[in-house]
Amino acid sequence: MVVGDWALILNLVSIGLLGLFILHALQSIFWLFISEKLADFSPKSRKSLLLVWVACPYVLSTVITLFFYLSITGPFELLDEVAHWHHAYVFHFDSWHGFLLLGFIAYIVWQLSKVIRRWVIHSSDIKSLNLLSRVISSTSNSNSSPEVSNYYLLDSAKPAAFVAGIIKPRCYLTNGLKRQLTEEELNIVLQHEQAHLTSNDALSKCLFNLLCIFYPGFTKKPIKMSYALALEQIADQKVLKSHTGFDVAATLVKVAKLQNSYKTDFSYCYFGSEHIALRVNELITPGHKKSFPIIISLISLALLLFSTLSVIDASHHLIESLFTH
Amino acid sequence: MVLGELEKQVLQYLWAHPDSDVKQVHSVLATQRGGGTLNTIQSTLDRLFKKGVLSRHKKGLAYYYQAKLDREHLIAKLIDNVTSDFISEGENSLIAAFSSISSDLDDSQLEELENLIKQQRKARG
Ligand SMILES: [Zn+2]
Ligand SMILES: [Zn+2]
Repeated sequence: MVVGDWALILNLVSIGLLGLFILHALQSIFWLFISEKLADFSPKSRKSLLLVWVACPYVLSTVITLFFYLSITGPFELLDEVAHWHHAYVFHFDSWHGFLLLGFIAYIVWQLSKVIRRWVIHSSDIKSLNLLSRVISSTSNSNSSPEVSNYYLLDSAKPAAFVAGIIKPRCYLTNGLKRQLTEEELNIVLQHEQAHLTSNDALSKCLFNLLCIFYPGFTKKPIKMSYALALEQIADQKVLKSHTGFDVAATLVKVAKLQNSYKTDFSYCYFGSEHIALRVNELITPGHKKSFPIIISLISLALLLFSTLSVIDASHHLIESLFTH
Repeated sequence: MVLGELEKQVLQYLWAHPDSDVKQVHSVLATQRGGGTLNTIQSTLDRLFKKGVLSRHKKGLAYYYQAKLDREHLIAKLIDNVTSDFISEGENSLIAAFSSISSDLDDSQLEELENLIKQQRKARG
C-alpha cells in the first residue's frame, strides 16, 4: 500500500488509464455509426478527421487526469461533483488498480518491443534493397511532364512502385513495371510516389498505426485502412495538377492488372492494388465533397469528454462493488 | 537480412558461378577493391549461410556454396518484406479479407473499371 503524494500520482495515472479505455470503448461503438459517412468527406478532411479521431483518447484522457488533479487538490467544490475519486491518497498495488497499471505497462512494453524488432528487420531489408538497386536521376526529357526526383530502379520482373523507409523514405520502381508503361504513365506513377515522399506518408502511417494499438480488432483494421485510403487519394490528387483524372485512373487500373498477372503475395501500399475501385471513382467523378466538420467535431469532443468524466466515478464504484477493492 | 558491401560481392560472384568454394570466391574477389582476405571471405560465407541466404554441401574437405535465391528472387522477396506493413505484420491476410474497402480486384472487375473510365471519358468529351 502506498499513501501520500506517490499514491496521488499512481491514482492519477489510473484515472488516465481508465479514461483511455473508456474513450476507446465509446469510440469503437461510435465508429459503427460514422464509418459509412466518412466517404462523404474529401480525402484531406478525412485524413484530418482520422488523425483527430486516433489522437482524441490520448488528449482527452490527459485533460480528464488534469480535471481530477484540480478537483482533488484544488479548492473547486463543484469539480468534485463530476471528478470524484474516493481514495486519492491511498493506492493498493494488490487491487484492480495495480493490475490495470501493471497490465498496461506490460502491454506497452510488449507492443513497443514488437515494433522495434520489426523496425530492425525492416531497415536492414531496405539497406539490402538499396545495395541491389541503381539510382536513376530522372531529368525528364519531355517538357510536358514535370520533374520528379531520383528513384531507385530494381531488377525485378515483379511490377511494383512504392516508397519505403520511415526516416529516410525513398522511391523504388522495378524494371518489370517500368518497361510496360508509357512515358506518361511512368510520370503519373512517379509523381504519385513523389507525393508520398514529400508529405512523409510512411512516417505518418507508422505513427498513426502506433496510436491505434488500443482499439479492438474490429475497429482497428477499418480505421487503419481508411487512413491508408485517404493518403493514397491525396497522393492521387497531387498528380491531377499535371494529368487528367481519367489518365491517372487508367494508369491505376493498368498497374493493378499488371500486378494481378504477376501475383506472389498480398502486398501493401503499392501503386495500385489497394482500394482501386474507390480511388478510380474519386478520380473520375469528382463530386462535391464535404470539408472538415469543425463544429460537429468540437461538440463530439466535448460530449466524449463529459461522458467519460462522469462514467469514471460510476465505473470505479461499480467495479469496486463487484470485486472487493 | 542486411547485406554489407562484401556480402553483396560474394553473392554476385555466386550468382554468376554457383557451387564455388572459398578459394574460388577469394581468387576472384581479391582482385577487386575491398575484396577481403581468405579469412574474411570464409566468415562472410559462413554468415550468409547462417542467415539462410546460401546453402552449402561438402565435397572432399571443402564446402561448396550456392545462393538459395537468384538475384531476381532475392529482390522480389525484399520487396515483399519492405512493403508489408511492418507494424501490423501478420494481419495482412485479415486486411485482404476485409473486402469492403480493400478489394483486391480480379481481372474481370478491373476490366469493368476500365470500361467505366472509357465511358466517362467519352461522356465528358
Ligand atoms: Zn500510394
Ligand atoms: Zn479504487
